Amino acid sequence: MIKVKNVTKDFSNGTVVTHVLRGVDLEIPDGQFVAIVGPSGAGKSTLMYQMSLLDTPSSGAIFVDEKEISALDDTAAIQYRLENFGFVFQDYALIPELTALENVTLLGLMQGVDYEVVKKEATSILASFNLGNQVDHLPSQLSGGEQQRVSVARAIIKKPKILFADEPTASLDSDMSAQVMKVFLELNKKGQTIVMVTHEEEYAMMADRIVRVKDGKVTDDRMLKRDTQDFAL
Amino acid sequence: MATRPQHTKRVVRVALFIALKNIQRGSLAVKMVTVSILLLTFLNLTVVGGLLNGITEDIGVKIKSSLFGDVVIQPSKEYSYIQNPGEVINNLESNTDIAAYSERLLAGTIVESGYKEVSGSAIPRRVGASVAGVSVDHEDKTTDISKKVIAGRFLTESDWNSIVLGSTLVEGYTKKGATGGDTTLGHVLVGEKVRVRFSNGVAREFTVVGIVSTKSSVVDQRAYIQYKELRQILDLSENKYSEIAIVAKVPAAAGYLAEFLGGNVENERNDVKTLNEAIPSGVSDVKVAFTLIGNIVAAIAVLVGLVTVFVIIFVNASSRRRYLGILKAQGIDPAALILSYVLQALFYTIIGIALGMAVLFGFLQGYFAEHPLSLPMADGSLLLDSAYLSVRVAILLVSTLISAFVPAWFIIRQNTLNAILGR
Repeated sequence: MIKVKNVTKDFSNGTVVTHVLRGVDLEIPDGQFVAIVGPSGAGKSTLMYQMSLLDTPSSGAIFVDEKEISALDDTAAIQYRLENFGFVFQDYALIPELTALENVTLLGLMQGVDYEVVKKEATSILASFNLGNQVDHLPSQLSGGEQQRVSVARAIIKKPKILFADEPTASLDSDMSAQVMKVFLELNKKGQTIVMVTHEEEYAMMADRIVRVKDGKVTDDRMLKRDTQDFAL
Repeated sequence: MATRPQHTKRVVRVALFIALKNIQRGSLAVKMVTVSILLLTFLNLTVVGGLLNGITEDIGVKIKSSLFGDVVIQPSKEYSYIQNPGEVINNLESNTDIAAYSERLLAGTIVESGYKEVSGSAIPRRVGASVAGVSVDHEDKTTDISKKVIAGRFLTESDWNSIVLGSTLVEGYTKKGATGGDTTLGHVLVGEKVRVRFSNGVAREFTVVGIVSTKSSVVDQRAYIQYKELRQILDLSENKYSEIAIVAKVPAAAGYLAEFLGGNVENERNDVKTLNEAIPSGVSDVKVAFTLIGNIVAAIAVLVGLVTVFVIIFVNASSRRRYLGILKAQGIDPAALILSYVLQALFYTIIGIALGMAVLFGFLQGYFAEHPLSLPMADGSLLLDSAYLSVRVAILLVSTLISAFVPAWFIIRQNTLNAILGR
């Protein structure tokens, strides 16, 4: 369970202060797939950065399983992210010199998992993402959709409590976007909590719940009735 | 939650993993440029200093082999000659640690050439020189002067009115500029006569039997005649010596020998010096200057290498700022990312050093042994001892470590979110 309590975020540019988040409250139970949507500049990504410890709120607090994580210092935040959060960004950011498999195993190594164990696990995840034949491919030998699926595999290899995805389909065409969304849906089906920021309504509609943000506030928060079959993925 | 040692182990493991894969699959061109620059840096760091060390070493070697041996006895400042010469020589004869010695009598003189052709107000060519009276047999056993004759021959026991000139006293045997133009005797050939004016007013004509060139300036500025002839010219009633060069049976023990001889009663009023103590101050200054030049060149080489590695790492890390930010966001410890850069830089430095060693010992050392740099004062070969090389290797490794760490740390320490968003 992730709880956002009256979180604000202000950015100061000299004398001008911009209030990007204006007291956001949100609760996301375990296993939910939440899409945060809103127009450009609404504060949806900023909200995700606060929730995922990539940024610190100006005021308010973030709790995960009753633990206030927004009070963690930088070092503790890195360790917390390693153990609890997975990230997928618009930019796949795979290390060019590492194969798909090696990119995925890296975080497992950082967690102290034995190399052979993490390699086996990574191979299995990549195979489940239909990348079984590309495990030894370098990022430059993969399509955008394949790279993004590798980045999802990298994010989940460490079995995160929450998977944060920031505009994961923004750089992909519709076919590739559909492949990535299918992966998300399958992960969520297995109980993975997912928080996805997107401006693409059709993909937001695939989530369990849609949270609309505008001018730094949650303006709409509703559960969706979805069925994977409906999306023809 | 991992303990500190566990976490450190993970950081090292991830850093090694990234570094290894980068080394395996990184751009070949970048790898070649990096290694080439580090190879050149290492050569810059070692070769110039090594050559200068070789030159300074050779200066010392030449002074030892042509002039002083391992130990030299000279008169104290207040005396013109060595005191108690008889006892000194007797003790040298009986000392079993001494391989050879050469007793010399020195006299300040004016040497003249071309005086037979001079008429009217013209004056012959004159040069101030120290004439050394030597016992030929002893000199032969102590120094290599007789082997350094470049024209004619050295003195023999039966020579009388014969003189061997140092190469810098005459033109044509030494590089121009080694001495001043008019301060030489001009082109004096073997078999020609020179006149030597001694401080006691005696002027005597000698036949030049040889020209000697040792590249040791003191030796090459002297003229050599028989000891007994000089003693007679100076009208000395008993044996007098200005210096005694001694060769120790064990050169490494020269310090102990000098200490022992200096402690003897007969040497109370003499100066007993090791080679290093006896080396003229000008030569010592040259050594200091060469060491300084070597260090300056090395410092510049290190700086160039350091800046190059810095730029390569900085450009690489800057261009991957977003990747690095995302890896940090995922929980990769920044220390692992920084360490991966440092490890790569160390790897390329080690390769550069290894190739540099191969070039040094596989080619350059042999080349300079065969073709030493011929300088007026010495021959420069590449002197590379293990202490010298170890220091250079350590300097390069530490410099590279710093020059890799600083840019990596500078880029990676930046705010994770700013890195991801490219702000």
